[in-house]
Amino acid sequence: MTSSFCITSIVNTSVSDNKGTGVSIKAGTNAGGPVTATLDRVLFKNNGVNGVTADSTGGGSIRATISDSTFNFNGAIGVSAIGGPGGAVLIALMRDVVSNHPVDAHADGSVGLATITFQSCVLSTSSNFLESVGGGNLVSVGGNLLFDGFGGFTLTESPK
Amino acid sequence: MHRTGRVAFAIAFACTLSASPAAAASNHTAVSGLGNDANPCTVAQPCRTMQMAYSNTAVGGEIDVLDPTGYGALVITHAISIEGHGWASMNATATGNAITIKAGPNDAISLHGLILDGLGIGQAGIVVNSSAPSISGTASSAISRAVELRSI
Repeated sequence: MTSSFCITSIVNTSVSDNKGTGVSIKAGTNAGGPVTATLDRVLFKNNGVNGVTADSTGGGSIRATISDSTFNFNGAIGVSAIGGPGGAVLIALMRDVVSNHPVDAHADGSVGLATITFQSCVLSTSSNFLESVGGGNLVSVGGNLLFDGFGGFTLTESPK
Repeated sequence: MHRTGRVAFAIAFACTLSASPAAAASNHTAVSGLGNDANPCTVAQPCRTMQMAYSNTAVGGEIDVLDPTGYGALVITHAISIEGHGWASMNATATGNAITIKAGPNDAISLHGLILDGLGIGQAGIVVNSSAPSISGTASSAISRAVELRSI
């Protein structure tokens, strides 16, 4: 198997008040290949569109781990995963706060596998906590707190 | 005549800027609010913008931010580490992103301690595009390297 990959780590950083999306991860925009991203202690606040978007519709796959981070008051979605035909999107959220969005987390599996897992996260004060489209997976692996909003996980698993 | 002198000075200054920087890329470069892009981007003689420091940094090298101010936008095309100390501001423009990553195969990019504030007009904070030609690699090796990076 051949592939290319890009490995990115973003740590202790503030991403705020951008007109578009705070962090946009696109796999295979030009040639295909996985992107592995680690985001730790990042503040995504008041960006015009989404806090984070991971989109593999261009090909390739994306694996992102986002820990100890805060998503707040972004214009559309806190965390968005959009699966593509050539690769899955997997976002693992751990100890994150996601609040005050029209949608806190969105998984779109219409074209390819899209999964967001939540562990020890707080989701609050949003029109919709969790939104699944086309079979996108929103998986709780324990310890999450949801209050003041609507929506729920598509699956609950035990931590492994 | 006075006006002609000003124009001549401006042209000479522009030529100085374009002809300047360091001859060879360094493993460790620095930027400062008091820096100048005509400098070699060392700690003693830092550059002013992140893009110029990047251009003077070797593949896999590190850019260190010496003091708090804005350092402009940046396009990354190879492995790099940036230590922003929590005070380095890199702002998106009305037509561009703060940081655009177009990385090659196996490129490891670490961004630490940055403030990416679009001020309500900038595009995205960070856009990551995988862009390199295909090479051999596996998902498992990518994951293991990501864990190593996280320890910075």
